[in-house]
This record gives sequence, C-alpha cells and structure tokens, in this order.
Amino acid sequence: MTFWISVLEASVRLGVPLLLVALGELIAERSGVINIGLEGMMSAGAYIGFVVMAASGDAQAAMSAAALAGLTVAGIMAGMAILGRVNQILTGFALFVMVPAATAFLYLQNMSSLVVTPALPVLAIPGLDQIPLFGRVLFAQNEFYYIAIALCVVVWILFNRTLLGLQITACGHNPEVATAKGVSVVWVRTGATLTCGALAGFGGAALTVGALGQFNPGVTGGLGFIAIAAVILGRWKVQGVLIAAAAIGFTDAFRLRISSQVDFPVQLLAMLPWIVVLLMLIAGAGFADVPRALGRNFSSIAASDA
Amino acid sequence: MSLDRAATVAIGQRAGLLAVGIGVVIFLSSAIFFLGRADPILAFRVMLNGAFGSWSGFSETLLRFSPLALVALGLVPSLRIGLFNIGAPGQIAAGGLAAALISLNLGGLPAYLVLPLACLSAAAGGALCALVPALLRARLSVSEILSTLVFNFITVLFLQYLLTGPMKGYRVNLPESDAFPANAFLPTFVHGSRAHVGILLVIAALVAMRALEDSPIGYRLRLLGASRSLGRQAGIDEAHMIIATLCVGGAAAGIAGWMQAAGVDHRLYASIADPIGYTGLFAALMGGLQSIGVVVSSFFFAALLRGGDTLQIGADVSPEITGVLVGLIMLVMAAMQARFRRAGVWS
Repeated sequence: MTFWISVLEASVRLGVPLLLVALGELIAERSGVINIGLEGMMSAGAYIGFVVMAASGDAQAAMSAAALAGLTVAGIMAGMAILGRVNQILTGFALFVMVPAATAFLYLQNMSSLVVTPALPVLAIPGLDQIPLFGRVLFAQNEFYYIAIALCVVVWILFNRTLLGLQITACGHNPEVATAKGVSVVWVRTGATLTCGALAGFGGAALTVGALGQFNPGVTGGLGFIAIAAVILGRWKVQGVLIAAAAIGFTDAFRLRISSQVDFPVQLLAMLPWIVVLLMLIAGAGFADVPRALGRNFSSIAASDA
Repeated sequence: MSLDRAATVAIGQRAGLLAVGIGVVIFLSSAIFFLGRADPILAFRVMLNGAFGSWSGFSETLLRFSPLALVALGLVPSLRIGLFNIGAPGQIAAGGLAAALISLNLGGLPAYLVLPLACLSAAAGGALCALVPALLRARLSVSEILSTLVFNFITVLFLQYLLTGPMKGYRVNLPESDAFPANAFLPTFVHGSRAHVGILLVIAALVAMRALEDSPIGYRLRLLGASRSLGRQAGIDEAHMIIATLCVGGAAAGIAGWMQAAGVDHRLYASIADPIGYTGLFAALMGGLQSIGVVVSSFFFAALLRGGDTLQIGADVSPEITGVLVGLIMLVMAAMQARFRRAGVWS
C-alpha cells in the first residue's frame, strides 16, 4: 500500500510540470500554432528558474523569471512563425535543438559544482489532507501544484465561457472566417504563443525548482514533446489534457518507484512512458477535434497566400 | 506551397542576405559565448583550425560529412511531401545495432561479404525503425513528428540497455560493445586518417538523387508536395508515397549508423547518433532540398561539428555549444528565407 501511495505522490510531482507545459501547448494549438519549440521554452524556464532560485532562494522570483524566460523564447517563435510566417515546424524544431543546448552550455560553463536548491515548502490544506490514501497526494503539495490546478480552471473558463476563448478557437479552425468576423488572427496567435511560452517556462521551473531541486543538462528530456502528445490525446480540451498528464505522470512515477523494487534493467523501464505516449498517439488518432488550420500560416493581407 | 523554390531567387540578393545572416549568427553566438564566460574569438579560431587547419583535422571533417550527408539526402524525398521525420537519431541507432550484430557475429567472413551485409542490414534496421511511424502516418494520420521522436527515445534506450547488458564490451563502465573484427572496419583512404570510403556511398546517393529529381517519381513527389488534392487527382497513392519516402530516410540514416559504428570507433556505442541525427534535417533544409545544395550544407555542418568537438581541448569550452550554433544558424537561415516569401519559399 505504501508503495502505491508513494507512486501516487510521485505521479503528482512529475505530472505537474507536464500539465503546465501541456496547458500552454493547448492554448497555442487551439489558436492554430503547433509549437514544436515547446521543449526549448520549457528548458529556458527550467534553467533560468533554477539559477534565480539558487541565487536568491526566492521561489516567487524564480517562478516569474522562468515564465519570462519561456516567454522570451516564445517571442522568437511568434516573431518568426506568426509575424514572419516562417514554417512553424522548422522554427520550432530549431528552437528545440538550440535552447536546450544553450541551457546545457551555460550550466556547464557557469556552474563548477553541483548546486541543489532547497525543496519548496509543502502547503497542506488542513482537514482535507487527512483523507485516507488520497489526502496527502491531492492536498499536501508545493505551490506549483496549486497554481497548476488553478490554471486548469482558468483555461477551462477561457475556452468554455469567454468570447476570447471562442476567438482563439476560431483562429485555429478557420482563420479566414475569424478575420471576416473582425478577429485579428495574427495577434490572437501571437498572444497564444507567448502565453504558451510563459506557461512552458513556468512548467520548466516546476520541474527543476519544484520537483527536483536541481538542474542538469537535458533535464527536460523530451517532456515538451510528451506535452504535445498529451494535448493530442486530451483532444485539445483542458479536462483531457489533465487526464493525459496524470496518466503519463503516473507511468513515469511507477517506473521510477518500481525500479528499486524489482531487478529489471532501468533502461527498459525508462522506455515505458514513451511506449505509453506512442499508444496514446495511436489511441488519439482520427478524432475530428483537431484545430483544422493547425500549423498553417496565415496572412490577413494575402489570405490566399497561406 | 512547395519547399524547393529557393533557387529562383536572384543570386545577388541571396549573397547580400547571406552576409547579413552570417553577421547575425556571429553576433548572437558571440553573446552566448560571453554569457558562458568563453572568448568567442578564440573559440571561432579553434573551430576553424580544428575543421580545416590541418590534414588530420580536415579528414575528421570528412569523417563527419559522410554520415551527415547521407542522413540529409535521405530526408529530402519525405521533406518534399511535407513530412518532418525527426527520427534520424533512432534510425541511426537501429542501423548501427543491425550492423554491429552482423559485424560481431559474421566477422569471420571476408571483408567483401561482411561490409555489404552490414551495410544492407543497417539500411533494413533504419527503415524498420521508420516503418512504424510511416504506417501510423499513412493509415491513421498520426503526426510523424511525434511518433518518430518517440522512436528516438525508445531505440536509444533499448540500445543503452543492450550496451550495458547483453552486448556490453570488455571495457568497464562504458556503454559500448566489443570492438568489431578488422574485417568489418570501413576501409580508409589513407593510413592514419579515419576518413573512410563511406564518402563513395554519398556520391552514389547524390547520383541517385539527381536521377530521382528528373524522374517521374521525383515529379510525383513535387506534385504531391505542392498540393495534396492535386496529387490525389493525378492518381498518386499518397499513403504509398508516405511509407516509401519515410523508409528511404530511415534506410539512409541506418547506413549512416553503420558508418559511425564501423568507421569511427569500430564498435557500437550509446551516443552513436549524436549529433548527426538532428543536424541532418537542418542540412537537408538549408540545402534547399536540392541534391547539390544538401551536400554542400552537409559539408558546412560537418565542419561545424568537427570544429565544435575540438573546443573542449582547444578553448576549454563545453561542446554543447555546437547544438546552439546549429540551431541558431537554422533560425537565421529560416528568417532570411522568409524574406523571399514571394518566391514561395517555406510558406
């Protein structure tokens, strides 16, 4: 029993960064932007958040700096792919190669010894955290967790209860019609991409500052791409993304915890989350909810050009 | 909109923009060097010297050129129909593994049998690694970007497992296989240099690509790339094309894996795909998806990779900077191409 509780606790810890990053990607994709550079934005936040945390010990400052770092990388993406109409996948892929390498480079050049940041305080909700089994898992986590849950609610309201959410969705499905209705597709997509970057950067900090307390080169390890898969499996909906992130977090936690219990090669266990992602991609295939203009560039001046 | 109309842009304009682009890359990369407390001038000098400064340096550049160019050339057909196969690292690893199995087990055969067998099995291994994403894309429209990336992680982790377990060599603590028997080594041109005959395969691939560009198949690829609906109306089997082009890319990457295993350290090692894998895609795109252009840009990136590898010793700079430079160059190139949107480049 204690094994499964520790797995559940670790699932939440590992799922939170993924959830934050996937929420960002959800917003970008709903507006019609495939953000392959997500990993880069996450990596920037993971590094900058960690550096600020190590230097100042101030978690709020680290969170803001991380979000800003992700936003900056997203600014490159938006400037090139949306305003400059460079191929979205190419731009994103270049950022995916460049930014994690840059954070690894800066870390190796500037940090001579292993630096560990203190674990964030656990905020327990009195009463609820006493519930057997799930109490501590769901109601005694650090602040990244609560912010992630709050953001889920905010994004859900955005897409289900507001005009802006509807406009974002319109840009993702049919930018021509959105333009005809007076929506500025370029600015909606720019805003969505920047928001995505900020969330991804914040998610990166949730990984290094919130979950691990340290940074190492390649720490994001493909999580940005797993987040994109989570959005696909979650069928571009907040609740779906939440479930997908939880499922992948659980798989990851399970393989980490089981590796100390059984004598099984760690490398084969490490394949488990990726196999789950592959199965999710197959299971999520062929649904009609995909934003129809996803990845397609758009110019309001020369709509036929796009 | 097709990816291959870059060539229509006026030469003079291109040269001017290229100069601006190089300036931007040098400026931005210098900034990153400064942030990493490294001297950019020294670093650039060391890189240039490492790649071209001596015969041995140049032969090391060639050593990186052959697999890189092969990966890049192999990616061109799929890129022409708008598929982004980012699975080269996994396909290289699969090819290297297949080649290692042949080389280690059939090393007793004469070289003229072992080498072709290893090469063919590497091609099959790489193609097999691309086949699943290809089928998923063709039948279920699963994004090939994500599925090929997933296979990178799965394949490389599997390789790491084999190299620390069943296939582990005698050297302690290194994730690598035993050395191949000498029969399975890729022959070199000059004694003492590691530049190997793999370059002949690049030439063969180049010739094949030139022939393909002017063939009915090349025409169909361009048609399908220009417009899916037009391609379908012309009776092109899109699913078939998706599977075929992705598997060609996989096979080429697989052969590159064989070159890395049988030509570099004469053994299989876990990081066999670094950093050729992702760079190959950039080389293909920067070459404008034209065979000669791809070879030229592959050579450029090979020199960059070689230069980057000498930084640690030459300037005490960690080699991660290579990835930064590669990505940065690609971004700046892409931004410059965007200036030519009227020419239809990368819409």
